[in-house]
Amino acid sequence: MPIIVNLDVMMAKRKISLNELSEKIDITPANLSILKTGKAKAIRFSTLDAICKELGCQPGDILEFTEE
Amino acid sequence: MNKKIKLYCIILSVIYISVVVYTIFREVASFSAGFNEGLKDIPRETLHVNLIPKSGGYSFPTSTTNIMDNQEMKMEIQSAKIMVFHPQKLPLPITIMYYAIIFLAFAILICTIWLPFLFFKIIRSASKGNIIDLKVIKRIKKIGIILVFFYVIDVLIYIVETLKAEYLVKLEHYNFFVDFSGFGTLILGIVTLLLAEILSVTLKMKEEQDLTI
Repeated sequence: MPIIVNLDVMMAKRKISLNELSEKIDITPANLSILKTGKAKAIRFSTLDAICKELGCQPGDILEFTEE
Repeated sequence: MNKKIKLYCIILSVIYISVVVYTIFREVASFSAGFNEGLKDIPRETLHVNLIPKSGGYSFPTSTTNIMDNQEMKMEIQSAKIMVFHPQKLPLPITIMYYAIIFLAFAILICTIWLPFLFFKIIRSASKGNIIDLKVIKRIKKIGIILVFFYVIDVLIYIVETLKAEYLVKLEHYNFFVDFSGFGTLILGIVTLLLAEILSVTLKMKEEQDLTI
């Protein structure tokens, strides 16, 4: 898929673990893991909003487009 | 699990079992009579044919007597079983088609036994709440294919029986014809395949939805 999720990079920069982030944005660790590993098919704006608020970043810091 | 699904599954199972039991009891006498006839050592050919009057439908070419009042009645026969004694040898193409049909009849027998197992596995999955599941969809597709297969074989059997009848027998008032009108099974088979495709699309949508975070 040409959309790459760089959530793990942002989490490392902010020094926050998967479980902590999932608790703060009210998403299960399993679902957050699906997102982090690039297996998700789609992301809701509400989820993106919650992640960006918590990590203090822009959507473009989390999502990246590359040509296949 | 959805109560309506459970209720419909129970009703369908009861109807299915009733039909099977009724058919068995109805056909036991026929089976016994056919078996006893088959034991007799006289060369014969039994033909299952559809008839149409030579002078057209509703011409009632056959007469019989009403034993209630000894009045003559007219009637029209639409299907018949004809037993021909000492039949002449059939031409090779018809003989080959006949044996091919016998082979396909075994396939039909296997499908007839397999069909209720598929059906009850689907009902069991439905009762556990797993309607939209890849295995269930595959089973529904198999049921659809089997139903279409039943119709095709039925038509082939009619064709072979009609060819045999045309070769061996000439009736005074009737012609033989191949009845293609048993579309119920064909339509049911195609609708079942359509349902399986719709469920496939539904499953893809569900999987995508499950992976929407």
